[in-house]
Amino acid sequence: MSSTTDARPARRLAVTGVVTGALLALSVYGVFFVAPEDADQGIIQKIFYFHVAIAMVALLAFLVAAIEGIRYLRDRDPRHDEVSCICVGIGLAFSVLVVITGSIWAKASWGTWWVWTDPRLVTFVIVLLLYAAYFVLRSSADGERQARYSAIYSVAAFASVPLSFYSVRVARSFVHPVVFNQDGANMPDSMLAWFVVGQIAMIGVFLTILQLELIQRRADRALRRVKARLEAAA
Amino acid sequence: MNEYVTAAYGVILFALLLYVVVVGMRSARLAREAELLARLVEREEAERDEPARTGLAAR
Repeated sequence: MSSTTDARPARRLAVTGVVTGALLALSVYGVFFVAPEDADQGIIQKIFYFHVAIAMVALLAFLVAAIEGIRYLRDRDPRHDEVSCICVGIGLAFSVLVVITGSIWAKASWGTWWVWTDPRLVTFVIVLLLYAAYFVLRSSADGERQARYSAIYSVAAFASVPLSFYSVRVARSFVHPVVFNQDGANMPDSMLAWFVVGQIAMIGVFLTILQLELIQRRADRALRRVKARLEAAA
Repeated sequence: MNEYVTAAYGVILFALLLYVVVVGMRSARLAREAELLARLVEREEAERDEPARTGLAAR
């Protein structure tokens, strides 16, 4: 057995964190000082850049959770269950942020905090509640059963993600705008470029949090192992 | 700047800071537990060495 520990996760975290921090700073600068103001909405449209980027990353996190759930069901490797669980947590936190920032944007743009008749808004809340239930299910079982149930649920709950994504297109949303359609992005290149920078920065935030959580859990597990050994020896 | 834009970006910044605080608290707990375990190991080593030393002194 090697006496040295694997330092690669910490190095990866440092690199991802630094790059993400730089990209976040760059995107905030670009959004507020370089990107043009929207002719229709004015400065309120600036909410779009991070609101949409966070929403995309939330859905990406749910996708990774579902993939890791499938991998767990195939290999029964607890590491896949761990990654899947962390991704659901990140996706859920990002979804809450999407709803809050979206409500603020709605109030500024439409004059109301929420529109219950809009399919995008309602389906997004359904997705959020479905993934919140994941943790209720997870806390109701232990060990292998917990991991198996969670994996199955993360895969099943992912069915709601395309529902939310396409609802606005299929139902022809009355209020929520569709920025990206089959013809591409519905905005000038000078806005799209800064949106892309913000989107990459948000993916970086997701990767940084994922790595940080994995490292913390690894440290927690190692401490528990030592504790158990000491207790057994005493 | 518009108050709604400030509020939206403020919420995002607050969430990030809150996460940093949570991670900091978790790291502090891990550090406390690691310290506790280190002290336990040191005490056990001291207890193991003590009889050996007293045995040598008696001889």
